[in-house]
Amino acid sequence: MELMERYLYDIGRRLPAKQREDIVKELRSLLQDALDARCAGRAPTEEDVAAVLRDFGSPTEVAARYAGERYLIGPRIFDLWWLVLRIVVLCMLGGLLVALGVSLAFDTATLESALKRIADFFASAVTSVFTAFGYVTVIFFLIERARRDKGAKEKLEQKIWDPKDLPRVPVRVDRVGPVGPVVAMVFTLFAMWLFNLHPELIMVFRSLGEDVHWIDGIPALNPAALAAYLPLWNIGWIAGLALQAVLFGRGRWELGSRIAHIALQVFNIGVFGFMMGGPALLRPEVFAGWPEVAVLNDMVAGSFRWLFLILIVVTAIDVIKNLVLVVRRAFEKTAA
Amino acid sequence: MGENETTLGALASELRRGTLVLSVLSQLEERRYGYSLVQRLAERGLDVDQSTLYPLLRRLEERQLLDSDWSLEESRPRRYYVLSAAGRQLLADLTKEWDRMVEVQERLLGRSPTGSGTKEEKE
Repeated sequence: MELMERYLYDIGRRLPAKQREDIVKELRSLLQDALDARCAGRAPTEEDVAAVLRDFGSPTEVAARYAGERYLIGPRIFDLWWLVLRIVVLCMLGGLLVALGVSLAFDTATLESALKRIADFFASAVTSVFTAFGYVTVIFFLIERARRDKGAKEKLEQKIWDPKDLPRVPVRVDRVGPVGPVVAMVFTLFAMWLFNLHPELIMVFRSLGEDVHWIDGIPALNPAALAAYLPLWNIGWIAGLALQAVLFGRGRWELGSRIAHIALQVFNIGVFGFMMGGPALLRPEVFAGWPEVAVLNDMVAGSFRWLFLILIVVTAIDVIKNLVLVVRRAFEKTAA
Repeated sequence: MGENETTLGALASELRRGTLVLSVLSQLEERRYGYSLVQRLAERGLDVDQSTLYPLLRRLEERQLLDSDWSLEESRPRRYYVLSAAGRQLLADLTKEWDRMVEVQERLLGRSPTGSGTKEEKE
């Protein structure tokens, strides 16, 4: 029966969300009727299911018949559109990344000029993604129009499709396995132990002399910074532990835990921002007198500003993603 | 020859497509679920593609020509369809239209005695 669920999932994801559940429920019952008729009393095999599905038609075809033809990009070519769009976007971003890498490598860049290049990269990345989306979509819209005008040549669709190629039904994003929370809790506890009880263990090591007979470690953390930040970190860690424990217990994301996660991430953004402006986390002398790593020295002097900037951006993206999920779930609930 | 066959196939299926709604409405004076309707039509000589019929049932329901409800009394939940009042009216009207078309086609194909026979029936 797994094959049938995969088939229904593949049809369902191509249907308008409003009717999806009802149509899939009806199709399931109809397919089982067809399967019963085919098997006439004996237990259905995988091959019976595959035959019934093949007889019924490819998911694209079935979904297209339910959905009608009122899309910018119809269900028949939607998959192709999505594939092409991803390839085009990846190629463009890849090209831009290579260009960025080359310019950074061959340029004796100051931190400012490197930052500017990275900012330029993001700007042109956004522009090119939108441009690619526009062009690809316009081209596919024209294909869709041409296809529709020709009276939708069904021949293309009659190519043999194999039920075995159906995608697997994905586990809902809401579900949380036990491993993730446990790993997160272990790392959080480790960090709490390390930073609260043994901050001196965080050292920078360097080899002395040509032969690395022994290495010398110097404590790296700036005590003043640690005193200022540690209480904030502890609040974040304890809240994180509580959240992970809830996720572990419930086994899924719920409205409450999502909102708690968003709140925690917003708190983290605040902490990152505070650390960006506050005292440097590492002692200024850590990399001093060490010309090979002048870059690291610059980074310490700049208290890792760009690193925090990236952290803030990544966290903000996570917050937005979760907000979207909360809103979507809320809609699903009101729709149901 | 091959081309002729495909032309025939395409035109024949177009003819059938035109009468599909009438065929379906005609069998839904009693409530039926999708698969039983397919069988009923097949028994009476009309083979309909399932993936054509089921979406059609939904569209007819959307246009309020059919009523539907889920029946939970059997081995599995089934969605039953039956003519609504509007559907019944449409079936009557479409049937009249069908009679007229048959009459015209028969005359055009020279099967019924031109004029007289059909006119007498009408009067």
